[in-house]
Amino acid sequence: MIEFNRDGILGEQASLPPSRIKIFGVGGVGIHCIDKMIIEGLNQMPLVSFDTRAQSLESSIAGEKVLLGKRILRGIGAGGDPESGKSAATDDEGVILSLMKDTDIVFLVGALGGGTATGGLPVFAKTARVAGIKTVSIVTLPYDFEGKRRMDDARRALDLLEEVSDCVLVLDHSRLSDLIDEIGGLRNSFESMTDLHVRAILALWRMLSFKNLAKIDFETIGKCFEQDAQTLFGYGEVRDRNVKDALGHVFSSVLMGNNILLRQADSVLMSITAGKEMTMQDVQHILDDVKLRLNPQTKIQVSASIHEDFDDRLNISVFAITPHGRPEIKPLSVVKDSAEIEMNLFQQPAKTVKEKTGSTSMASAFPNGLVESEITIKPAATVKPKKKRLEKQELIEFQKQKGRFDKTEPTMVNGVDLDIPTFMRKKIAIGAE
Amino acid sequence: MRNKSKIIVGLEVGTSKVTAIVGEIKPDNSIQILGFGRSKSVGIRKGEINDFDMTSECIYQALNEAELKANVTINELYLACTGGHIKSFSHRGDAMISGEESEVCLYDLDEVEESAKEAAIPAEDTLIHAVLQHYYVDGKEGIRNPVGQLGTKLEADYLLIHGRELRIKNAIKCVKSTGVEVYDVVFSPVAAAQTILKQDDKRHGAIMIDIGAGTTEYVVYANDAIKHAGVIAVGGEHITNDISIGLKPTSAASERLKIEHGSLLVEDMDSQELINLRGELAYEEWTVSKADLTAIMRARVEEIFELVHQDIESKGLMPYLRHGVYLTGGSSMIVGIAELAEEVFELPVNVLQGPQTNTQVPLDLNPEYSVVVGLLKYAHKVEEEKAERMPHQTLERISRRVMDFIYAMKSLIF
Repeated sequence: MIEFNRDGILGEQASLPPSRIKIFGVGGVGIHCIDKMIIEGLNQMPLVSFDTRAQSLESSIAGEKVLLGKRILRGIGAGGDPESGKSAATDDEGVILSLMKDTDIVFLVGALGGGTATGGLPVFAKTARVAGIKTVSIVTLPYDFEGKRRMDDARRALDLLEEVSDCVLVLDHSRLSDLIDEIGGLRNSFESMTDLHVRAILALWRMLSFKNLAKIDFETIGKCFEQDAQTLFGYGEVRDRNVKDALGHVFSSVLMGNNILLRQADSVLMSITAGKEMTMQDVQHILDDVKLRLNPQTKIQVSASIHEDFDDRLNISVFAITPHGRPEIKPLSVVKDSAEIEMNLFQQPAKTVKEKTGSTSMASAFPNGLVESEITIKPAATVKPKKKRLEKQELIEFQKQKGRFDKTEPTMVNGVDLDIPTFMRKKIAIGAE
Repeated sequence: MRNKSKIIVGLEVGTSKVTAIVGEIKPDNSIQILGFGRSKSVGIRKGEINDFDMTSECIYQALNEAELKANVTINELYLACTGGHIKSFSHRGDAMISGEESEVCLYDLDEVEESAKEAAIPAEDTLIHAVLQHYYVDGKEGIRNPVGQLGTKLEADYLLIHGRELRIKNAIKCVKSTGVEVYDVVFSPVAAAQTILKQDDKRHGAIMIDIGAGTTEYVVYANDAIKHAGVIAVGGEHITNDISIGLKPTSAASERLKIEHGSLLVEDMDSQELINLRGELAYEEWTVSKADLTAIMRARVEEIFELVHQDIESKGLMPYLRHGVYLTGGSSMIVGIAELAEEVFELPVNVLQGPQTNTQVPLDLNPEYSVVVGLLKYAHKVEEEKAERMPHQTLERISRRVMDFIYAMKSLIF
């Protein structure tokens, strides 16, 4: 009976080829993240640690370990020099490529600002691109107090990475540093950062992994992240499949400390993971709750996955992608039609679920227990959204074109800035130009 | 009623000019204009003061000139105010009729006005006007003067006009800095309508649109009552700005283009004519196409009219406007504006235009002064009403207090 049940849910999915994902931890922080995943009992994932320092690799508990640039650096480390990191990775490109074999997606995990990851990650991403493997880079930026040089190095590396990686997700350390005191100590701060790093990786991994009731494909994730946007991340994990508690953690934590930011989100990626008792009703229940917190226009992408290990545990992870500079926030009372939710179900492919939400009372008072962080996801060069970019460009053009009203308070009527010449807004062609 | 004449002063601080006017209310209730003063505005954008000191200087010049011409000393004045922050809406107040034998008395009118003013406006706003529209006695509509009527419940619709308190205070402060007190603040289009719209227009329904340099203001009258008033912070300066962005001449050249060659006629959209900008510095052989100029200007003015039209239509007032549209203000001088307004509003359009500066023309007829002359008329009306109501009111209030006291005593005894 149980066997049959399991086949009923999982059997169909097993017939579909799952995305083969490997997670590469590069540099000190990368290894640390990999170790943490293993400690948390996630060793069923193919994890690989890379570093230029033999000592740190030795202490790592990862199953697969690669010492980069053995020939050049002899295992002494990159010494914070991105160039050394780069040459080390380039030197071992063959090893990297062989480890990427039979993989669809590679997650690249590391902290920018040092040597190995800063110099190495772009090489990894480039190697993957050449091999036709998609990459998701999940990186952190250095703390402000780590100095300008590190930040400059990190920025440069990030620019490079954006060019070659399909999806770049940046965890911004700077906001976390504000919370150091609250959390209690620098070590804890680093720990929480690593924890968030791992949670974000896991959330993305689950979205792309195969035992899903509802799945989001890589292209969809790429599309969500392709704007030059600010991305917020939060997660909640509870026992007893207690939906309310889990959502409480998600929305009180991380990003959603601020409801206003959340309401500005353009699209939301959700990953729901639970034991095999999870039903579509549970998913629906969670979605109903989430919809109430979002702007009706927000596009929600849901991935619901089942894990036998989860038993009665429930994990909800949310990425909210907020475009920069959105001017208006709709008041709560406007919410009438529900958010549109797209769910690609295996049973009913590409089904769009539209629903009416009821009253919009919002329980916003959740305990603030978790760490707050901000993630910036920048688009990779290849998936640059041309249309969005153009609009932004046009907007800048318009702002320049306000002439003598440049510095006055804008005349906003129905969301339109009337100071911008009408003929430009209505796109009436002027021949004399 | 009045046997002494009274001096009233009106001041309009506009985006392009500051105008002050001194009038005398004669014992026979007519207004005679004694003099006016004007100066070019500096430091004002979209009808609101940007540069306090410069504007203060302009106000001083205008008032000084008016004082000299009228040979009076100005101590206090009525100030016309405008700005995109000013909004209006109708609200109904009510009161139980308390007069003897259920007869509406003046005291009830006060009560109902107070009740109407209690309507919620944004916290940062202040009420500029509460203009009476109509009274209702026990739900009977359209009563102009309910005093003496019998009933139990008196209701009244008021048009409440409100704006940002600090901005209005800023304008008052600017005037005060020249040593003159502000007696009252009047929303510019409400004042202008007093001169532009005749009694007939107010009865049969009409829109007055005043397209100034920085703002476009409008007022709707119907059935002898003000129905709606509004302002859009877009005016002639925007047209000029559009031209300089679209065709790239200097700002001064754009202004000249607008005044000398500007047109809103449909046929000019296809004009092959080229306008030579020779004579302008740095534009030795520069020509612009009249068709382009017309397209740019038409787009802007059409949009202004559409916004006004949408607002009035959303209030459901379009069917009541049998006397059509009255256009005034500097930008209403553009060729073809009446045709364009007719197109948008689908109503007959009158453009009120007088010569630019001609003191021979009665001031009433010169649209340049419609706001300030309107201010005088408005002030006159207010003073008249005040004089009419005050004595009655005080007497009635006292007698009411006495009666209340007696009733209270009675209830104590029994």
